[in-house]
Amino acid sequence: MGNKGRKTIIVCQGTGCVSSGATPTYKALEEGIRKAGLTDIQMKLTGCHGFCQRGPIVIIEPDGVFYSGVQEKNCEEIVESHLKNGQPVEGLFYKDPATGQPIATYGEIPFYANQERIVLARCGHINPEVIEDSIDSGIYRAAPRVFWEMPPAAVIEEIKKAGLRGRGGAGFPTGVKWGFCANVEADQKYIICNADEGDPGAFMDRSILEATPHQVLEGMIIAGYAIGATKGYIYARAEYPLAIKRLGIAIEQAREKGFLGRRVFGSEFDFDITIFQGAGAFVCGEETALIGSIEGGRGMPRTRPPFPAVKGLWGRPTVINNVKTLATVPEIINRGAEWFAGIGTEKSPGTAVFALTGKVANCGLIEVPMGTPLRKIIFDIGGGIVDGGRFKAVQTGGPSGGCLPEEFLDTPVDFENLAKAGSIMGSGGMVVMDESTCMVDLARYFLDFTQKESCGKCVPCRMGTKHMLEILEDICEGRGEPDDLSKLMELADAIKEGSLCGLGQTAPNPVITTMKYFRHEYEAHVHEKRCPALKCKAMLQYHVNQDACKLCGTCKKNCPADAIRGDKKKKIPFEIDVDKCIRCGMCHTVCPVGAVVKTSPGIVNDHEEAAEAAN
Amino acid sequence: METNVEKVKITIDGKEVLVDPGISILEAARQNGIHIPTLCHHPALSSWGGCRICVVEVDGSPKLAASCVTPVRVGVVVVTSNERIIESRRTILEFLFAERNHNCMICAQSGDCELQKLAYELQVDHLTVPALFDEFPTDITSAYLAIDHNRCILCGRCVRACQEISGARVLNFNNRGPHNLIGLDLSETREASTCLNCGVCMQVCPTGAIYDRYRTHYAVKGHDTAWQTTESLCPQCGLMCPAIFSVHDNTVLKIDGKLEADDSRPDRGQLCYKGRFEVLKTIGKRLTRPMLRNGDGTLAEESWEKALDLTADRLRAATRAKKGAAIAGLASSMHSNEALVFFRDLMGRGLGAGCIDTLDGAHFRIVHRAWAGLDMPLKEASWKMIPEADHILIVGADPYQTQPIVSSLIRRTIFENRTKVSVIGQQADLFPFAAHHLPLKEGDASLLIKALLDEATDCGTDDVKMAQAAELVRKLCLSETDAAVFHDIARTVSEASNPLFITVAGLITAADDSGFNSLVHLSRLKGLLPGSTLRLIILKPFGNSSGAWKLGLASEAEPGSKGQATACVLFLAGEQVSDPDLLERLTGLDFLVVISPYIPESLADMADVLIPCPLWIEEDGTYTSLDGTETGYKKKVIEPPSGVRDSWQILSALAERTGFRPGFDTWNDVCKAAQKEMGG
Ligand SMILES: Cc1cc2nc3c(=O)[nH]c(=O)nc-3n(C[C@H](O)[C@H](O)[C@H](O)COP(=O)(O)O)c2cc1C
Ligand code: SF4
Ligand code: SF4
Ligand code: SF4
Ligand code: FES
Repeated sequence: MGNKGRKTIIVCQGTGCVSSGATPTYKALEEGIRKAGLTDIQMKLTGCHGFCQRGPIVIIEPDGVFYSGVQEKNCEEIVESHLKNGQPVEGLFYKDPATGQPIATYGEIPFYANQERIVLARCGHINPEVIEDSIDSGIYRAAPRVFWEMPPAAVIEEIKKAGLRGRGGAGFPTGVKWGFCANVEADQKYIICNADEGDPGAFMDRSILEATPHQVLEGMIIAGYAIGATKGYIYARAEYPLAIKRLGIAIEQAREKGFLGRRVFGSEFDFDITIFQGAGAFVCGEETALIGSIEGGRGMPRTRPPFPAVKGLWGRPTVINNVKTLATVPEIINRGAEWFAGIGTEKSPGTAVFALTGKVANCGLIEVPMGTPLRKIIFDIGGGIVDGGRFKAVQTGGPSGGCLPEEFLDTPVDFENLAKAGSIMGSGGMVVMDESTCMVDLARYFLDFTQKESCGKCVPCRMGTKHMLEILEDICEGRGEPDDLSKLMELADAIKEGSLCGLGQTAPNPVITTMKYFRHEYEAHVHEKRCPALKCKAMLQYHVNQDACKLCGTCKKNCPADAIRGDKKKKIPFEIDVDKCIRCGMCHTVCPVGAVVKTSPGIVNDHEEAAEAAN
Repeated sequence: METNVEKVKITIDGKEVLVDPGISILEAARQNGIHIPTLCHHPALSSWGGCRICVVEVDGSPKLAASCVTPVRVGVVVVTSNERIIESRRTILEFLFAERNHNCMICAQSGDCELQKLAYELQVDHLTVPALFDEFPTDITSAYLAIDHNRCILCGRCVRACQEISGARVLNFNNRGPHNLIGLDLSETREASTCLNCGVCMQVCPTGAIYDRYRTHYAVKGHDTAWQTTESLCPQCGLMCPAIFSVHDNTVLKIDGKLEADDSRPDRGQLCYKGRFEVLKTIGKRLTRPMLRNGDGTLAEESWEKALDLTADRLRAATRAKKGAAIAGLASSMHSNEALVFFRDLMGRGLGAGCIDTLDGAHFRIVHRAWAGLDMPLKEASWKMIPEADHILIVGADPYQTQPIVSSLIRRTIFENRTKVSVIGQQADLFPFAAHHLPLKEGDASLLIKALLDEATDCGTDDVKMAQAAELVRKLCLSETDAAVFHDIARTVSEASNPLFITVAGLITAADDSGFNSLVHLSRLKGLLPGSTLRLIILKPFGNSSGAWKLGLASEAEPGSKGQATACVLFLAGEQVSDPDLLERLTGLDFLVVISPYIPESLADMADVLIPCPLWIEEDGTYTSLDGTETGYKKKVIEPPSGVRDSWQILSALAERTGFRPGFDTWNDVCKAAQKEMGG
């Protein structure tokens, strides 16, 4: 990069920024620079910076100036003011949501300042489609070292010593897994990179593949060498066209350089990688289903043992690792096991990557040392709850995970502590919820997802989740029965106990944790037919606050059910007929003065019954 | 054999036992007489682990393990039944009953259903979960098999059977989660699908979801405990597949294959559409009493005595009038060796017939002539060698029509062993999977095979010959593509180290048998298999063709070469005569007697006497395998219709009336004679 004074303009081309308009932004900047006759400026495309919510993101190096939300129309100003006259455009700076203060450089933005990036270190700083960029940034330094200096067993030992645990969900020690596989004699072994990433809302793996594909390829080469596999597969979902395209380019470039193919890096070792596009079923991320899918069958899990490390793809020993696990490997080789083990906690060394979403001010891709408290992630990096709302719960681990309430905010985030609290690390989804989220409805949402995604092979998962969903739907629609809660728990146990694969075994988790930490919400729904979060439509009531009403009649005009009485001219107050009201919320939305009040009053005379049921 | 395997000590239900390593907990329990219920597990199929009925407690773990897919470990402590386990199994059953509408009252399988039995066993008498079923379709488009999705428990046994046993790969799972549905191909109806109607899916289905279209209502026939079962074999094509006949009230309800997990028979005991369904079909009108042609030309029922007397008189008269050549004896090669031996002796030694032949005599003569040209006596290859071949060339044969299990085995070997298969000729069920397919034009067949012989043997050695062959191939093949396929087949044949050739004598070369000879020669040149065996499987048209040919029932000389017959005895085994040549030969006779289980429709105007005989399920007898090396005993499964006498009685009566002493006084004697001749 060097060449001081020479400016580099980085335009993020991650999927998030592209969808908020980064392509026209890039073109406009390019055009502007050409027109302005600026020659000393280099344009650069990169993968995701992680701050997707504020996209399109443009960074001017070496100043480190960070512009967010740069649309086509803003480009002229950047060229004129910043590039030509050295005057950064303050209006495009990121503004601290807490103070409203503009912040000029990304180093100062809390979102970045509080992170520790190992896996994501290069994301947003290199052009993923240019292999030299990757090489300059330090990728492909570990692999040749391994070939010349470390026998396979030493590589495995190093990974074991580093204590690296799988980032795909279960956190199985990676070195141990490699060791199992290395010890099996076979004519052929395989390494598979699991980039199925089926959790709703998760985009960590996609972003890494888009931003720094070579880092993942290098991890696979090292893994292949360590276990004795000469073939690698990347199982990527077909809905990730950009990641697949960039991976394809990266593989091609690596082959040209002799990093893949025969005698890689001039060693004795052959290794090549094939991309396999999955059809996008959630269950295909489960390793045995994934193998079945590559073999051309339907993605259905099978029982382990035998574990893939012993009998995997085409019956051969196979190591399957998550994208992040593999992307971490070269850094461990480069900087040593001690360095890695020194980050994070004793049992969960290293960093954790999360896709932070939901009701936080700063959504995006983040990386923190293991053991970072939830509070720091949500409030310091995430900037707290949007619109001054109140924190209610955080969900980790996607549909297999759990929901943790406020009292867990100081829980350090690692495999053990999350599991102890009833949730899981998962592969890195983190959804923050405020008071407007109904926990019953949330559980219903996740269960709806898992029961649709169940492969249908085993009965507890296929039918159990359907029965649970049925009950949750009843509860949300005000048809809950007193014994529904115990029924839910019984079903949850049956599914956890009896299911074949992780999907079924963890599917009840969202229900179990919300029942544990937010039982009062379930009880309000069931016994009082009341939704405290004012979310479940069937239990809502709308009425007009006469004190606030200005008698404008907008509500009446917009009500599709003709449920509002009143007259503007005759000054008859507006009132909502609860029997006619279909609870669509239109009046609530359109009232210019907020006079329509949404409540969930519930049924009071159900209390006796409730007390009875409680006994 | 097991001495060098270190046994594993485990504890099941408090009992310490020693078992083989690597087996499942389920197997270990069963070997030790401990019952664990199962649904998706089937001993002949790969383990699945889906239904979770077979859960057990392992080392006190809170998570129950499916015993069918959990291997034993040293020292493992297994509990197969306690309250928690039973409760878990009940929950599964309730889920299943709540998932689809299992309306037992109208189910063909009721009484013979594994789901129903389990509900009794686990005493599920009501559901604690709500019924959530939608209405599912029932597919009755096929003439053989129906599938009622309302009774499907998605155990996947049918899917595995269709792939692992039949090799058809028609069935699969469609959709996800609770919307799962068993589908054929890409959601075709059964009729439109590539289903081969082998019915193995029906046999393994634990419920009434897949049932046949013939005698659907097992339920009205009582529970399976009330049926008799007879284990016998299917004699219809020479593969002698073991078959289990379920009988009630002298009616065959169903026929099952003797499915096996191991490869003791490479077809793993499946049955084909013929073996499973042919008997269940109503084919024609049974002949239950003898019939004679009256003065007015019509056939009328008559007593056995009169019919036999008349037949014997007319045959004797014919012999007297014209010496030996006057009588022809024609038999179906579907009869047992015993019936054939007796028939042969009665016709030959007894009546001095000028011609004794089988309905497939023309096939025999082609094979016979080719064999006579060999340098040493050789055996035909057995179909059981198919899985070992590295290349299979099928010429003119259509195994799915003649020996369907052979086609199943070829399909499986393509998938399981990646064996290259080349097809020359028509072959609807195989060519989607075959490496090569070349159409066969009738007139050119012999030239084409001759060219193949030349090219495959001279490949790369003789340039002049190669050029000549290439020229010929260009002429014979319809297109450039076909020519390229031809050369590729020739190369594959020449490179194969363990090839097998499959053909049928009659199909390609009715008039000109030089093509058949070329193929025999080609397989001879590829080296012999152990035991002086040629690399050639010859598919034959009838179930006991090999037996009949070996017993000399088929004539080496062309029929009629010793002079025209004036009387003929036609001994049918259930078929109708439709061959125009044969019909022509049978017209203009002075006397024609047909012994047949059915009224022979095409001969109704010609026959003078019709004598009823049993079908093969109604008689005992031995059959000889396709390659002529094995003999199997086929048991009687049901009684013939009342009034029908068995073959032994009919032939004995004719012998007695024509004054012939055959040398066997009992059925047992015939068996011994046949056995001796078959070299067993
Ligand atoms: C239903 C289900 C979905 C899964 N999806 C993913 C996935 O999308 N990506 C992933 O890396 N692992 C996924 N896993 C975990 C994999 O089975 C496997 O454990 C993982 O890829 C191993 O990699 P690691 O050791 O690097 O974590 C899933 C597991 C289950 C049960
Ligand atoms: S637990 Fe669910 S997803 Fe997993 S095998 Fe069973 S049915 Fe399929
Ligand atoms: S009848 Fe045979 S081929 Fe057809 S679906 Fe069933 S198993 Fe498959
Ligand atoms: S049709 Fe029968 S064998 Fe096939 S999945 Fe359904 S119940 Fe099982
Ligand atoms: S019989 Fe074991 S899971 Fe179905």
